[in-house]
Amino acid sequence: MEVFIVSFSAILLTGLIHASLGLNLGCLLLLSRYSLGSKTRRPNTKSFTSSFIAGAGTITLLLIMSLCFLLLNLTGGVLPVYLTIIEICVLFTLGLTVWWFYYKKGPGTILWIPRPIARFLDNRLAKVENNTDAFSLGLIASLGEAPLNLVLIFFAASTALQLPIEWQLLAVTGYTIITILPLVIFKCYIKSGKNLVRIQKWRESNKFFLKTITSLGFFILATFIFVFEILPLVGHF
Amino acid sequence: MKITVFKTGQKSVPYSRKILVNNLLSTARAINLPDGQAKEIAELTVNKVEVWLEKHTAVTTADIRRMAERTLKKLNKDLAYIYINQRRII
Repeated sequence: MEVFIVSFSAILLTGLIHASLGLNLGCLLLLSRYSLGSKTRRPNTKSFTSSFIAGAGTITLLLIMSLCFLLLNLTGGVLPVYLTIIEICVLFTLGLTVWWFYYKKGPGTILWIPRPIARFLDNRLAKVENNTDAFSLGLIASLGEAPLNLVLIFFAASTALQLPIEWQLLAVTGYTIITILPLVIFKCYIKSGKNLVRIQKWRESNKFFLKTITSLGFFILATFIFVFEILPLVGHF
Repeated sequence: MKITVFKTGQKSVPYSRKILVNNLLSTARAINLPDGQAKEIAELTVNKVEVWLEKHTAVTTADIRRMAERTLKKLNKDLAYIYINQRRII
């Protein structure tokens, strides 16, 4: 029972950290801005946002399942100690990176991604014509944040593998649902006819809060892994 | 007089009133402003920007945005906010 609670709590925490990253939400906001602003594409805004969310969810699900498969074949589902230590170090580094660099200083919510990629995403989001475009942009936006979320997905995959087989699918699906939750909430908000300015203003005024929560999340997760995976081993010596 | 507009990382283009009006209308539509109000705001803003443009032969898109923002802030704050911040979302 303890394994269940610890594993599901870890997956929940990892999913929440993943969900607090801002690129997907920023892209969805831009997609809504462009499609609501176009006379011809305005009626399709709901289906575009749904396709974008489906794209983001699909790539997360595919990544976590691929990593599960890879870990199962390479390590038999049990992470070697050296990989766990590397994971902890990467999580600490990412926590510091998010704290120092993730949101750029100045007005707006400009993220720490290369400007050519941001311009590419912006241009593509402005030209979305059908659901396939929106779906593939959902995939690309999630992959654009891979340097930050890959280690989270890796940890979620290794944790899911520690559960009995019948619970693994639930853990993996649960993780994916948590990561797309902010996007679904945003879609419901726009669907109810509310203004997207309020969301962007909220993001801008709470930039510091979001940065703190994400970076603290990385630190807490690293400590969590250290306490539950490394400390028991140290105790044996 | 022909005015050249420089865009970041792209080729310069001649100034076009139509593009500016369409951009403002699109932004207004995105925040659910009624069409009549959106057209009025767009026309007023572009007129003000063009008064400023008369003194220049070459400007950047950022200059035009800043000038438009000054007028928009007096007419509709939400529109001004999203117009100036749409390049600062990601």
